[in-house]
Amino acid sequence: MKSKYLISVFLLLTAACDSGDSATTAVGELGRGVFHSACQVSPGHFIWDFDSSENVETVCPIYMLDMRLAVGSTAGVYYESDAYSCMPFMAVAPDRIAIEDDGITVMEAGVTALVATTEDYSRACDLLHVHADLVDRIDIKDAAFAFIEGPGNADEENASTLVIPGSGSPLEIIAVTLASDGEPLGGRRIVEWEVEGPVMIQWEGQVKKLSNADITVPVTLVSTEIGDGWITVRDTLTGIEGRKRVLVR
Amino acid sequence: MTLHLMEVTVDRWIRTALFFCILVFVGSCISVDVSPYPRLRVDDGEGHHDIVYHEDIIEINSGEAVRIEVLVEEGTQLYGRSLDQGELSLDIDNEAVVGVFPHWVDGMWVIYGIEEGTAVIEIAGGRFEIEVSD
Repeated sequence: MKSKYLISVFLLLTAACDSGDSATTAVGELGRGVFHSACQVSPGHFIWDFDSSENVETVCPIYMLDMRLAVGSTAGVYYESDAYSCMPFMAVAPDRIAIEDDGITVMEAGVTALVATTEDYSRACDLLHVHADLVDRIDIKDAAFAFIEGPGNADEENASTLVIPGSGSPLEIIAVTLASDGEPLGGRRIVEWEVEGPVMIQWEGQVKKLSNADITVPVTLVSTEIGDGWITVRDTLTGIEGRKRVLVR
Repeated sequence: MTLHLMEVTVDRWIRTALFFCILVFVGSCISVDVSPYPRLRVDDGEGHHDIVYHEDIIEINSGEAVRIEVLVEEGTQLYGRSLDQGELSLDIDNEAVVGVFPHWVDGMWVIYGIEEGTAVIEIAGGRFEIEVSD
């Protein structure tokens, strides 16, 4: 009876550990190694911790291996194996996914298998299917609540508007590409931010009305005046826009 | 005394006959796969797998890869040649439609759809049609 209890506790702990790791790593479908999604924005940015609503200091790669990638985006993916001869992977449909030094670029929607092969390409070491979809729209979110189900998303006002709490206080926001079914899509891409009203974008030590940035990097909004403004994010590749009202209280 | 010996002998015959009857009955209940062709286990890597037989169709999408495994026991004889896994080979008739990588384990392959169409693969005398759709 006691051993059954201990086994149950062990299994629960194992399951808990697995769920924490599942987003950023995936055991290859042939079981030879592990695929990782990697944050390659800049030092100091780390992979988003979905399990901790408090760790909102940095938001990075926006690509978890169990989510779809946005067409036109790039993502850091790498493969690790104990087998010395297993080399970096190739895509079986190179017209859909291009392999680059620092990851992959998605060119078409659909499913594409990444195959890690031996050095001479004679054998398959491992396999990962990457799902990709077209960007349907872009949403702008408070970075603190962008991907966490909780008070931030449950709050109707927060969902439709962004609030800068008092002039002078910064607000970190982030853009999220969405598929037609409303699910967030992963991947890095360049977007253009534009503000109207008393709100300004603080970017690399400067304050601007317009800024181009990697979508995976949070943008800081500041204001020295109380009032209403607007922020627009535009995908430079597709021209798709997201727009949100900003209240400075 | 003689009568007793006869009873023992008859009893032994009856038991032996009963044993053979049971053996035949059990034997007839067990279905043995006598097909000379290998079967394939097709695994999509995302939790689904199928067993396909000689001349069956395997459906995949272009860009998608599946793992195939030949279901024969090591050392089985087929067409008079050994099916030790290291000796298996896979032939494909349309490499524009379907691509193939041998798996790092002998006796398995990774096949993937390249473009819409059909191709036939042959493994140890078994023929399997691959239908690739976009």
